Amino acid sequence: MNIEKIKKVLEKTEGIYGWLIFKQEVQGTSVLHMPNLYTAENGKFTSTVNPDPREVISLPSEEIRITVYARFNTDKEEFMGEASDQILSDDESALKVQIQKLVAAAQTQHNKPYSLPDKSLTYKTDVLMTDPKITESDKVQLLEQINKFNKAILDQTEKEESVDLSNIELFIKNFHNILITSTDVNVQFDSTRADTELCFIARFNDDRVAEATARISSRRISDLNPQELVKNYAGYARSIALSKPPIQYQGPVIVSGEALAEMLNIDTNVISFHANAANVYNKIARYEQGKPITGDLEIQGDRVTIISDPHIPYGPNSQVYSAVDGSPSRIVTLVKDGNYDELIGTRRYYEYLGLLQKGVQPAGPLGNTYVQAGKTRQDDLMSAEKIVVVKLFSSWTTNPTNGDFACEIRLGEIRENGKATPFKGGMLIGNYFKMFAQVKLSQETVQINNYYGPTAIRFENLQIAG
Amino acid sequence: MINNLPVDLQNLRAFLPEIVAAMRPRVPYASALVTQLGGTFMAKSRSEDRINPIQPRRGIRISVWDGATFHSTATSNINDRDYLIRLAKELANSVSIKSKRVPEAGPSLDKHFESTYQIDPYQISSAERKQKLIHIFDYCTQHDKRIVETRAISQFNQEYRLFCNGERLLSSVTTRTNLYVVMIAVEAGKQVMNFKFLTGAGYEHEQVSDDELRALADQTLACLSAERITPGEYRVILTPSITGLLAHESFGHGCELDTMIRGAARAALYIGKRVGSDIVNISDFGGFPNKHGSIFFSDDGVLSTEPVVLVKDGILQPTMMTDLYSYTMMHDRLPGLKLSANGRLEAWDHPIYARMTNTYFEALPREKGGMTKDELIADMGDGVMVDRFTSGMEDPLGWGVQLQALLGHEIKKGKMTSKLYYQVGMTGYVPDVLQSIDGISPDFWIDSTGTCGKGHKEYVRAADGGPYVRCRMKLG
Repeated sequence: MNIEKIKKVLEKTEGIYGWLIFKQEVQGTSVLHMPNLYTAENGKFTSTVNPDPREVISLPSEEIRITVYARFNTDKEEFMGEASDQILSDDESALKVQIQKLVAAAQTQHNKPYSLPDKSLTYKTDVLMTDPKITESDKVQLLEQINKFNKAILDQTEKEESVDLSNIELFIKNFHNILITSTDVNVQFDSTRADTELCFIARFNDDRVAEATARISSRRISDLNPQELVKNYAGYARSIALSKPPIQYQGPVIVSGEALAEMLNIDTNVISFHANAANVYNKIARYEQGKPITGDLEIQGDRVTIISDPHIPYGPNSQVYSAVDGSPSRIVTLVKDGNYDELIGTRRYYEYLGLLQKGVQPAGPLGNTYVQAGKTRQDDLMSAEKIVVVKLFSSWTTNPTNGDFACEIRLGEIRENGKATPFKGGMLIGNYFKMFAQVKLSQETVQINNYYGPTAIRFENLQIAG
Repeated sequence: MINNLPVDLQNLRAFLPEIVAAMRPRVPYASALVTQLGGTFMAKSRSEDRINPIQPRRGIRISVWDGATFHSTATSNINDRDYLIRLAKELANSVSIKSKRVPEAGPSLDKHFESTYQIDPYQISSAERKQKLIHIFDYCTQHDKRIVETRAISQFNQEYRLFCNGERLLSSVTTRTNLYVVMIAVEAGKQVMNFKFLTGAGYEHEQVSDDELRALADQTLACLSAERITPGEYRVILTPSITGLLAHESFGHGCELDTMIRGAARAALYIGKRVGSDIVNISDFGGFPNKHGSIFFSDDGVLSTEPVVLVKDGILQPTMMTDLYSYTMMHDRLPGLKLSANGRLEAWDHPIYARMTNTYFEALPREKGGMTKDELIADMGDGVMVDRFTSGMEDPLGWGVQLQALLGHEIKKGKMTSKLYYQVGMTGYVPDVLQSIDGISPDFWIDSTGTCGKGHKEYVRAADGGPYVRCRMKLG
């Protein structure tokens, strides 16, 4: 579709205060494969090799979405509204009708006015987000790379004791992104993605069976390391399969690896709810700049720093602009040394809170989760006589309003007198705010998807209900 | 009669057989699927007055089968017919046939389906919907100063689907109207959230009375003084939405055929065996009229005409939820397997997997021992009634289950007390939980909304439900 035609119709339509056009062109290839097909006979699984993929999908596609803004007066008061939609045709008459409907919708919204991003803003388009191995490959070459990755995973899994690969999916996509606005912003950039899901099943007999799934998002194929992926997740599957029942416990708990990445991820964590400009404006957030995230509880251990960083090279959540309001991406420190610092959220709410007027740039899109490392060696976090390590959750969830959580543990370890015993099940129970009152962060760091931070954190007082 | 299908989709429907015909000379099976969304989203909160079209996400997926693999091309460019025919021919020419195995195309059929309703949601103006949202917002926020925020949302969704595989040409317009009310209350540094949702096909389902709003507001305020439950094992009564969530997470995911044949569901070892007490019956059915998870046909073109019975009288059944690939590969090896309407995708550019639709526990008629909710409470001694699900997670191989609910009501000596628990997590070992079920009510609801992921992706709309169920679970 012709973006210039859309732009012309937008410029000619009456009642528009401003507009944004987002365009994304996508080329992609995906392969899904179940390498073994299982049936059950006489109470036992039997499998046959399935040499062919389940599905191969190729994707030539484009999406254009526009947002229109309208300002209008009612009873001497000025209001503003916005409406967005995907453009399905660049036929001029169809476009006119669609855009007029959006303007009409925007003109029914009685919101306090706000400004739009203009060309004086700096968009960081040099963030590294493309893999030449993807951008320079045609469909056939992409398929060859996927098959090569799949073979490496299968070969590596062959070497693992008592573990099979039950599912392998790799989705490779190449994006060309464009943002054009009525305020003369014109930004273009390319990005790539290589996302995989690998399911490993450990079987010691059919009573001691467990699955561990790797879900890895990356910008480059080379960031998907078959050896490391198989080693880690085959190991998880074996540990779960051999694990003991859960325990009753209260005391220090170390959350590590994937479980920690889930727990701290700014896409979903409780801090993001309370450090969100819209929630602060609506007075439903605990945020007070410079005040501890633990509320009245004094912080006794390490002080955590959590940052939204959309500029990490090849970070899965690295971004150039917000797909909501077109604001440029920037690094935002949500929590600094245990205290609330900056806010995430849209330009509109930054303006409502008076931040824009003070020269603070809007937060832009959420980036990668960056958590500053601590000073303690990971091994030294285990110093207690008895301590529990949580490695995987079934699904990490927290009540965003009060921070309470009770989440099932998919894989944990009880460490006692130098001996580690894996367990599975039971709930980790606590409160997201209170748990930061006494923590120690490891000095070692790890990247797991969009999480960049300590490999482990020791929380001094959490509960496990077995 | 095609009432609510947009004209361009009507034209495309007529063209789909040509696309499939362009592929068929080269391959034993070919299909085309178009998906598109429509409708309006409206919201009212303290700082947000919003109305916006639902993003169409329109595209086509054309697929061929080579005897072992589906090969698909997915594109958003559905306006250029020459382009689509060229893509179809290129796709068919790119494969070589590997076996004589052919997916079932089903008997010939040319049919269009649409949701039915009492009050036509297409006739309700945006102004009328907005007025209702403003009333909800004003009523709730003026009810008590401690209610600091109310968010009222009205969603009128249309889901369009076109499918053709040479034998059958199907289309549907699935209409959903949803009303959500979310409240946040604050007092002395404590903050709680509560919600209510209403769902159905017609505008009649978006009606909420002031009495219902007041009850929701009062319950939200009661949450301010609610306690956190002491972790441990409890006798619990699950309200219908939680009952359905248990069905969904216990033998829902584990009975999706593609999960089973990749060896990731322990259920495969238990077909024909006892997995629950003899009053446990679990099914999945997309053909219920106007439920949130309902579909007229699957994305493989299979009609939703009969429920898939997963557990009958406590015994796991061989009738699984199937997608066309898994069924084609396995039906000669799995006796009793039927092709069901469960092959679904998130959108046209995603893969098709075996997925749930409306998953539920069957009610227990009174003549078979069914007990009303009040009888279940009176008969249970001490325990907790858990209500209002927020999320769940499956573990079909390990048979763990995690359910999250917003509210727990204390029951003491067979009577509900005024004590409320806020934010209750539930876990257990699936066979233990299902074996512990000793009471089921004779009434039945499927009124949940939401989406279900395969793992953590591929979200499709799905609903859960059933009767009140009494069992034992670990709460925390």
